[in-house]
Amino acid sequence: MTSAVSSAILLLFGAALVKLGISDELLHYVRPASRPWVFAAGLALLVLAGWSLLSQFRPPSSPDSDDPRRSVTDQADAEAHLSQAGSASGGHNHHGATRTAWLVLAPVLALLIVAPPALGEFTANRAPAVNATASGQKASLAAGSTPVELNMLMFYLLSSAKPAALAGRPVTLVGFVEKQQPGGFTLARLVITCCAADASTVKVTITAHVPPPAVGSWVQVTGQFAGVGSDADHTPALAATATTGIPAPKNPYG
Amino acid sequence: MLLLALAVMLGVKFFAPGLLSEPAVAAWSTVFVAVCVQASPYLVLGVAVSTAIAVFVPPTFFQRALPSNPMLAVPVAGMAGAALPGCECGSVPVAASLMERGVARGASVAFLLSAPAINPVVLVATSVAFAGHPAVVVARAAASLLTAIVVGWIWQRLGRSVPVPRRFTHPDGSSRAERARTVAAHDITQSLGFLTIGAAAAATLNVAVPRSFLAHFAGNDVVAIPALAALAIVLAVCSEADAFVAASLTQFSLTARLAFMVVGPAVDVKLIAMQAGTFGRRFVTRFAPLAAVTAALAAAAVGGWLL
Repeated sequence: MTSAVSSAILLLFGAALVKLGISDELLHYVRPASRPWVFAAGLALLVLAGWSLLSQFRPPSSPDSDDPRRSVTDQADAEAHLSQAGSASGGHNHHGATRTAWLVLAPVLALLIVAPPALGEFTANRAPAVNATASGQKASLAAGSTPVELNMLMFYLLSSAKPAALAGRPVTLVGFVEKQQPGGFTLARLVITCCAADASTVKVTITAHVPPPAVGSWVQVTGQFAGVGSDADHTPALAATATTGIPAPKNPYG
Repeated sequence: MLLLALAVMLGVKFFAPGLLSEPAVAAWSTVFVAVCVQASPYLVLGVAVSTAIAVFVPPTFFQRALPSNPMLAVPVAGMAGAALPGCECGSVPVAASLMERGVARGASVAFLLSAPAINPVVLVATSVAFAGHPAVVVARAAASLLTAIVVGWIWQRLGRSVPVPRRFTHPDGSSRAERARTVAAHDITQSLGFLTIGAAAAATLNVAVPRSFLAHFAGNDVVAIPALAALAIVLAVCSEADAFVAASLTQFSLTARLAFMVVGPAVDVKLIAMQAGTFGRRFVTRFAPLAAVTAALAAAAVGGWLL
């Protein structure tokens, strides 16, 4: 029955992936483009695990195993192979294989019980700043004087590559409060490439005349570009005219 | 173990909810789940390929496709790595299947090292991350291929004393579909299980090592190359994303950042856990140091020449 246990665990993991594949929670962990792949992988695991479970509860129906005793022999042969392997490598035996299956339960339980939140100010404080030189040249903003809503990353890229495009233009940014400071706060957004393990940070220094919102809360800030800082990352500044608290966006990463 | 894990999680959830709102613990669990979720599609793809090799591709195919001299087979297998698009976790079960199908051990490890590093997806990601420096893409491909070939040759000569465990194989009498199911279920459970250990290690180091600490090593390449090689090993960033992480380490020289991108797909905590599970501990205690040192030296040499 031990392999029935591993199949059941695999089934749970597949179900967790499928569930993630159809929920917004996915965006806490990986980029949106991964959605179909995560869903498909979950589906494949469900099929494989379901098939394994079924075949453990009924005699094999393959054409070349018409003898009902065949499956018993197969099982014994397989066990023999495994114990051979086990003695050769030390620990790589059937027992080890089932033990390995228990490990797969860790992410399943983490997802079902803990449902880890999206990364926030803790990571923004520590992750490296996003690299502006790489894609800065591609940043562009259609000319005009109407207020425009900008992605934090785009604002940051423009501030270093084409500051002239931002001059005198009211912009709206969405991010979370990383820390409060005299005369304002730091607005941050994490950027991920593949998954939350590779997060880097975009920061904007906000100068505001209102009391700064709580650390970690999501805000929408409208204001005007006010030059870049003298720090190593050339953090841009925004002189805020309006700051509104908003609920966390579906995709927390920019 | 299950009950213990469940008890710990439920206990934390209901009796100490404060612990989960502890930012380091929350960030740890997010990174842990993220690595597992992000790697799963690649593992499924890798296992699909490894199952196809183990069950549907006849061993004679590899005898015909690869030069019969095992030393010559190493560079061919290294180049063939370019054909498997994905990141490093998927190539472990594929390499295991290759060995089982009689492909020489040197050629199999050359494929294991080159597949995650020189495939088109990774190289395109690298060119996007280093938009101003096209030489970095060439240097990455060259240094990774060099690493794969050198390690493959050394392993072909010296790896004989390291037996690789035989995987679960059904007797040939059972139907192909049954064998495919058994191999796939075994390989995916194995890879996912060891992936969780690697993900836990990577999440711990991700949360525990503040990046600002790195600035101390940036000045001199003699220190910077080993420092970024070590960072690549502990962070275990997927090879499709590591170029963006490398690009953000602006205080380091291009050669040191190249070392980060050449070492990472070859050796990291996630791969060490998965290889220990698939090939055994004796394998990984010899292979991981060999691959890490070779990759760092290859990056230093190619970086010094091209960058």
